[in-house]
Amino acid sequence: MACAFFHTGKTGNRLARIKVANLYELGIDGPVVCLQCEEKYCLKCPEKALALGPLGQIIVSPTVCNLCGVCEKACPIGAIEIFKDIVYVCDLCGRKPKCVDACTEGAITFAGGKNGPSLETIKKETNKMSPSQKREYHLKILGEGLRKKWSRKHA
Amino acid sequence: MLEFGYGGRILRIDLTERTFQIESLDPSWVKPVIGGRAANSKRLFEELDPHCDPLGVDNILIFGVGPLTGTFLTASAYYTVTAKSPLTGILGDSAAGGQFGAEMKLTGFDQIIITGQADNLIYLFVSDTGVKFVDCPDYKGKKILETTEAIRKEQRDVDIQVAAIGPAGENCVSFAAIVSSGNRVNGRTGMGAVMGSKNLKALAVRGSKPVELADTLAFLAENREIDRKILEHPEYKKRHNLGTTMLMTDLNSIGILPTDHFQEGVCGYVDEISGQKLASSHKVKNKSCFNCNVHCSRYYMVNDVEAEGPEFETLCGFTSRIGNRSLPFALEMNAYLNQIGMDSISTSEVIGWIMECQEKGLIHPKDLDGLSMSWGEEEKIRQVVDMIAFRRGIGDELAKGAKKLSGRFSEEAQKLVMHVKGLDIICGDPRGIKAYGLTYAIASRGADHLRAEPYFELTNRKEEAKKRFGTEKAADRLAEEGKAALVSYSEKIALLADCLTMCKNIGLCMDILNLERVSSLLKAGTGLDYSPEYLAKILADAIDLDHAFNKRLGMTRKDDTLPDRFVNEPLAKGPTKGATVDIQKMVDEYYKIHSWEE
Repeated sequence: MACAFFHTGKTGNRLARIKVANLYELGIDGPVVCLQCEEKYCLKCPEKALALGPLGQIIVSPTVCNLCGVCEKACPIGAIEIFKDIVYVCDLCGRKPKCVDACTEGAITFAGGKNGPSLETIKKETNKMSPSQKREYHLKILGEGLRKKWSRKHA
Repeated sequence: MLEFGYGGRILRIDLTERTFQIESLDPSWVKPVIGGRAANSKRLFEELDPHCDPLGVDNILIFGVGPLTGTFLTASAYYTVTAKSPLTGILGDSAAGGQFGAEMKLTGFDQIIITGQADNLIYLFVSDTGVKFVDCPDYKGKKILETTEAIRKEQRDVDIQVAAIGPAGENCVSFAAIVSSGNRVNGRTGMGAVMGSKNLKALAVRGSKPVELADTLAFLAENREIDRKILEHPEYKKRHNLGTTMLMTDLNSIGILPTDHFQEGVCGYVDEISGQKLASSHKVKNKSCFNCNVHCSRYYMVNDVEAEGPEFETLCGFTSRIGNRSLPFALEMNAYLNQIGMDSISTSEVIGWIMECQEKGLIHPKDLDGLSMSWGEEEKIRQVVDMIAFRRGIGDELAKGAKKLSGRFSEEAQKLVMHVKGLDIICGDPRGIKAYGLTYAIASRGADHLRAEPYFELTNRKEEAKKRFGTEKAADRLAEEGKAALVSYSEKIALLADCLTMCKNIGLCMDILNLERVSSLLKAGTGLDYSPEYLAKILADAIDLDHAFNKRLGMTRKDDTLPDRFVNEPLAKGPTKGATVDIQKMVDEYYKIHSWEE
């Protein structure tokens, strides 16, 4: 919500660069956003429309981009998505992410490093999925760990 | 042309013909009702044959959101479902939060109006461009989460939001619910049965039309102030931790926690079934509706059961109200009722009423096909819930609701049904909260607190009471004085919350919304001119319209009352000992304020 609103002045999950998925059957809700992964799969853009910014953020050149969708397909967790001719990916809000400010649970943190985790193992599993399905897959894996903790506590 | 806030369109779906039509929403039609609940009521009033069979082909089922649903406004998550109620035969509606309302808003449809009856079990998939009619005979009997998952899988999109019915809705149980976001329930007045009668298993939505505001900066400033008020609210932490389950100990401490079917207001074992006990023993995580910062919902695990909730009504309904002291059992019932799609309040009333009548010897097991139940009997309760949902044996009669069922028994037994206008009363004994008593009596969908939610009565703010309602007594829960004024104010704010839409736990109970603030929000949001005076007028008109709707269906002044118990039987012990409700006095005053004829 905060992401879409502060970037566009409008609201709607398609305009957000951080997407929330609700996996009701697992009791897991969570945001999926660019993790500045070690591999930087999206930078393999054939048009070189994507570049790495000084904070580690992905910068998209709308003039060079021809909406081929390679970046969307390449991202293993669905953190890049094209909607109505625009590539949506986290730009880190100039180091002060609005989503971090907005979250009253303290669930989102900004680590500040340029290299996030490796997504190599997920990449193999999510290759043929849509961005929405990739986000679900990613969240399920994160959720499994959380659910183990819950079960231990309430077994 | 509605450019801001509103989606600006309505979607009409004819299930019989399997056709749909997109219309633009006429600004002059919607402005005087704002949106959400009031717009749904107006639509029903204008288009429904008032004497139609609620479970017949002619009933109209309306899903509605408001101009600020799904916007930056905090807790703007709600949607209302409206139809003629199969439980009460009068105006029926029920709202829910979660994620469905915000996603429906993104389709650009402010109302989805469903008529006719499908010839086969189907679900509807609504997107910006219209509707897909999807046959789903194999979904028959599926529970809510199974249905949600199946639709998401079939449509290859995990971001789809689904409002579905379970077996109870398919079997047209009079108090069947619609459930979205897995566990968010449109519980009251049997909207799930209307859906079931139309052979409609689910309404799925996925939109992509962003919501634009007329004056973004002004809206942002107003909402910042709202957020500040919420986060600094003295109840914020408690609500975040316990949600509405905080009411278990709160109501018990003032002697109005329904116990053994309202025979008592103090529950000796409250600490075993309280919100605090739930939070410390079984809660694993806070859950939230769309764009909220209170996160009052909770996910829990207990034995093999896991689910979201319960809200106070379900917790109390399946513990003290029916004499059950096992919290794990109540949590199991919450999960089960949500998944089969049945209203926990009406279900617990059927059960509690039978238990009391059998204890008093007013109903013999042979009159109920051999069914006998006593307080807190877990296995029996499990069986009865299933018999109702699947309409097995005597469950077929129980599925008509406590009031209709009571017609077969003595007058004494009939008097013990805790209902107004056929809708079962919520968990709050009105003998110790008089404004709530008045609200149950006058609410246009039958015994219900949410039509006004006069929480102010419990906040002990005497000076503020004098200022707002002319008497300190408005903040005295045991007094009748000033309550008609309080309810007449509070019902407007409740309606506003349902029209914008916004959560009433926040907008109303936390005292966030008032006419001035909403005037600014609506101006900044929609660009339309809504002065506080104009708002007061149109809200009064909308309340008059509900009243007229029910009048047309045969309701009169004498239906605006409370069950005999609350009027004539004083509570025997506790902090509300000796109290009854002088309901006629309050209703008289309320009618006077509304200039309604007898």
